Amino acid sequence: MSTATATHDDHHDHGPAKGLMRWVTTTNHKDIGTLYLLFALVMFFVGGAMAMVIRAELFQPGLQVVDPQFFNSMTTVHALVMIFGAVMPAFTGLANWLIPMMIGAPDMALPRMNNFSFWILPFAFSLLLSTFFMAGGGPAAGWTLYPPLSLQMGDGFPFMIFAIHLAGISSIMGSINIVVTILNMRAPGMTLMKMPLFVWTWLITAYLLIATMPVLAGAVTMLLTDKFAGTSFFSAAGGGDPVMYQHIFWFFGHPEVYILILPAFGIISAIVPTFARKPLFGYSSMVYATASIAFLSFIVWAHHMFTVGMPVVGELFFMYATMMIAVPTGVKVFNWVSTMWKGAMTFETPMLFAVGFIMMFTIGGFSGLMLAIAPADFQYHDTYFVVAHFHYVLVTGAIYSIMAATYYWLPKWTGNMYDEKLGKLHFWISTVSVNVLFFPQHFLGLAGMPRRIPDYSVQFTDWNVVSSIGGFVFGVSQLMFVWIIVKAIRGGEKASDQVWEGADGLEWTLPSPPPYHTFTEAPQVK
Amino acid sequence: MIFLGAIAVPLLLISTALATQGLWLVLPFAGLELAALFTALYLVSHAAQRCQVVSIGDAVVTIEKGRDRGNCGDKGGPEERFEFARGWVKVELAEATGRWYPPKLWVGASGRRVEIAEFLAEDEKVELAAELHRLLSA
Repeated sequence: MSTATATHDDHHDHGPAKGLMRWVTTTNHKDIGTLYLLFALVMFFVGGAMAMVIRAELFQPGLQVVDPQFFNSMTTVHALVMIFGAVMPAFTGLANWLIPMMIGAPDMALPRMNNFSFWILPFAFSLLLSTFFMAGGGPAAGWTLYPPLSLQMGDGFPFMIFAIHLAGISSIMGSINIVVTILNMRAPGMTLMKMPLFVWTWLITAYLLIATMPVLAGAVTMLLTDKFAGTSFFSAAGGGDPVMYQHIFWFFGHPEVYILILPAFGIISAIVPTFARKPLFGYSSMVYATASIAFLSFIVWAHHMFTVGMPVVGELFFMYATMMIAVPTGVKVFNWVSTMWKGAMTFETPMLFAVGFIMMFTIGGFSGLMLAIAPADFQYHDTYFVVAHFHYVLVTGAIYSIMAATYYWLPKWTGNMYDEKLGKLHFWISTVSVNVLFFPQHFLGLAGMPRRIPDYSVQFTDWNVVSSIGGFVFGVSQLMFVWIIVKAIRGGEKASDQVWEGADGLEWTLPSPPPYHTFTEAPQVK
Repeated sequence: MIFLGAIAVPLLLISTALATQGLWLVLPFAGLELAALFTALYLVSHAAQRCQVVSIGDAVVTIEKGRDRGNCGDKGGPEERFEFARGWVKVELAEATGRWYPPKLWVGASGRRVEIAEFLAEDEKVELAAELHRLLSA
């Protein structure tokens, strides 16, 4: 008896469609991953250009380059673009490229939704950036959009809210897709506790995104109705409470911080064992630490609001809850260091960025602990110390991990090795300049320089000059990153399938570059 | 379901708490999102288990449709089972009539026919049709 069995696994390789429409209509996870990563890179430079304007204005005291309203727009939109346009899409791009290959799935579970969730983003950010050309200019109330200040924005206000909604819808669709893919499409034998940590961290990140995005959506919609529909959710004059907006915003906002860093933990947990040539120390504890951080992220939101006013018991609760986050985060740093301990270490570019991440993210973590101390926070709040803290976490944390990931998996994606010399040069110039940029901001903050101001007292001049010089060098040095990627895409030394001697995981069993359709037959995981 | 519950419980708790404070607009967004998550999880887990087996015997061609991946009838047999006399079996491939109307593959005989491989891509249906033709004429 002959038997033909038709299942989802009966795929045969066929290449992509040709031309521009390939990218518009694609449902292939690798294409969509590439689109996300390119979009994130463009947004990184858009947000970076805004940072250059900020640092140019702050190079000297007094008003030099832009007017204060535009300066405030720069700080606001820089944050929105970097968070929602650069870091989150970059991680989603990495998830699209890597999760199916890491769990042995042929594609994402909902490929059409995957296409929609990407193509919403260019419209969302075009809309956000178009507000600069509207009466009243772009949003200038800070990325937190606290009322009543945010309600004083001009004609661009509803467009900004709509842009945030669109970006949120995109994030939710991306997250649902990732959750469904991980839970339903793992290869036989790929149990949850055998999944690579990048997959685990993304599963928990997607959980956080799904759990908090409706809160942001509700908050910004209530801002909209307060402005246009006569409601008073946040207007004290109408019986509302503007402080409630802050509570709601930060109930979303603090998990958002972990959304921006948990996938980075997964990336570093993949890279460090490869270049230490040892298995990851404490895999299970890494999983539980990630879940603990996710849980704690829901109960610490008011540490952003210590100075707003709350009962002492509340301040104590949020202070201690925040400090507890140091425990699972410390477990992670301990495990990475233990993985490196007595390993046969080499320092190729991905490892340099990973080690840089561990050291500088830890600096950002420690300054976070300082900010968690409620009485001390009354001194630090809304100063440049806070700016230094979150840039150490987000730039030398999240963005360094994205760069590490790019160097690590680029040979797999393109089939070509990147230029190692240029990669190392990129790392060292970036690392020196980023510390020149952000470390002096600790001093400025401790000396009392407030954040989100275009002008400052003359005693802050010297460290602002240093910081701006660091900023310009860091900004320009990122052009090297683009050149290294372009060079690797165009050619270079051919990469082997394994690429890195110590690499482990299903993606390394595929050819470099992988065919358009991978794992048409599910691999067996032992 | 555990994952869905782990999201739904905290999200509905916080949304309801906010609603009691007058901030009710979070609740509809939470509901919509949970519905989307549930639908996606249900549809994919349902579709991921679909399986069809076409068995070509000396005298009979059997088509079994079921949901147990790897063996379409592992628990209590297949959901649907069709038998056709092999000598009369016809494999029909209706070509795509437009972008939104993909090709369809039928197997049938004596005035009855069953659509198979609905979940395969266009070129895969063509390949399967050719394979069935080859096996039936062997």
